[in-house]
Amino acid sequence: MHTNQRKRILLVEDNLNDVELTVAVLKASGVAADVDVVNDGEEAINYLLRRGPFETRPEMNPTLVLLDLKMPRLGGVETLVEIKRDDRLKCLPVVMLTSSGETQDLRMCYRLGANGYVVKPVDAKEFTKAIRDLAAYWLGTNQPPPD
Amino acid sequence: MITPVDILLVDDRPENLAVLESILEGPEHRLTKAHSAQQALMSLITTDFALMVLDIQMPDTGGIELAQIIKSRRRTRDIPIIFLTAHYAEDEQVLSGYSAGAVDYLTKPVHPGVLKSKVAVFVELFRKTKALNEANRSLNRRNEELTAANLELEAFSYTVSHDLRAPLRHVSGYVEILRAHVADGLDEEARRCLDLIQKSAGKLGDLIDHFLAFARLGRADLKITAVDMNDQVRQVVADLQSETKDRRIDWRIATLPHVQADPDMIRQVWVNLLSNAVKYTRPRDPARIEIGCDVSKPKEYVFFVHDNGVGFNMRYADKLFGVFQRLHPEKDYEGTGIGLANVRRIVNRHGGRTMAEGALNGGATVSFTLKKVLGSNN
Repeated sequence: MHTNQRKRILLVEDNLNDVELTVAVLKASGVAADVDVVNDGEEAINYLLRRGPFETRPEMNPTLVLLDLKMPRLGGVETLVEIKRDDRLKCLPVVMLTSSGETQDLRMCYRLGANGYVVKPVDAKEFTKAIRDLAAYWLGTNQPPPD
Repeated sequence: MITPVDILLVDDRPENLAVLESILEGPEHRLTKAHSAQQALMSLITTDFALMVLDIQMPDTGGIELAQIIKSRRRTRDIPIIFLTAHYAEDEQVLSGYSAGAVDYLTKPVHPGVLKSKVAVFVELFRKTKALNEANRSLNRRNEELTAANLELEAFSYTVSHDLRAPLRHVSGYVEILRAHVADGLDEEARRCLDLIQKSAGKLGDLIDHFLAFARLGRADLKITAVDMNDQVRQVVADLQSETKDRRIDWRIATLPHVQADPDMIRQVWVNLLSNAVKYTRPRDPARIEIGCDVSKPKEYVFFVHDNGVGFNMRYADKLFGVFQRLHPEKDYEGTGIGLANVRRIVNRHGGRTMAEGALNGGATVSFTLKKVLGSNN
């Protein structure tokens, strides 16, 4: 059991401005969680499977994966597929965090097993609220899968 | 100058071939002579003939047999054949076995005028078929190009819209961080500037959203069902409550026909037209908004929304339905200018037209047509 460990969010996002703004909102909203950041899908899979540079990271899996759609190398959809077909990872809650509200993107992500889908609002106040609500639900209200 | 067409003459007797040649000679024909079925088949491999003139009686492989070979091959199947026969009565049964049009016959001795005119008919047919095939091919090519261009445009608008949104979100985000960071040090002018940056980012966000929605309208499939326009108008008017509740508006709504249309899309047409009417009658008390339909035309309904609002100068009427076109300053009337462009796109996709009439400070009438029977022309 790792009850004494702090919760973790894995943010998979290639755009550094988006990383900074998202992390700032999470920090400011007082979410009791650390945020680990990786910049594309390959890094995300390596992180989750504790491979390569992530071999030494703490053992506990993140409580939530926030996954961008459009990224270089392994994109969001491919990363989602990798996570959901791996027995060790498939129970992890994955929420898509993207600019696209296109029906085809939504449909594809849910079909592939995404646990949530959030369109990043352009307006800063709405963006802040969206990230806060998201964190409050997945780190507070929602009961995570047992180890 | 006409390009000559190829004609194949087949007869085992050189003197017969010479006769045919003398009749058909001319700049519009390129004649190929064959003395046997074998020779004829060789020529058919290399040349695209408009027709062949074939002696029915030849030694070895006879004319009928040669014709059967030609008609059984895909490449030569459609070449018309004029048979030359000495004894029509004997050959009649065989000749009638061929499909009409592709095969004809002449009895010997050949009458030059008759042969010429029969040949002319087939040559003309050949030219027309060739032109038609060419037109078809180029049409298919154009079609493929258009489909490719459409797909590219779709991918382009998708990418642009989403890639534009990210930097916009950053502008908005960093303005808020800056505001929080230097809160106390900001004077009124600095605060005003930050507000304007924020507002402009929001406005660009709206434009991108509206552009995306407009692009989507062009490619969404129409789901045609029976639509009661009375229900639609009633619902839309009810939905405008929040904007109309503190105003005096005299709604005059006539009984409207049912139509065959995509209900969600047609609802958008009413939303745009009626919210425009509500918006541009704001200075009027009471405002008057009239909704009706002219059913007197044989093939189409003409729906209209008439108001006594601020109207517009007819000089700019053609701008009205353009994408992001506005005829009133934004400080007076909000909006991005996409509403009537959406209306036009939806109505066009249903095979109808949109029209607008108005006068500055004299109200406006916006109309659209829908076919009474879907699928009929006009």
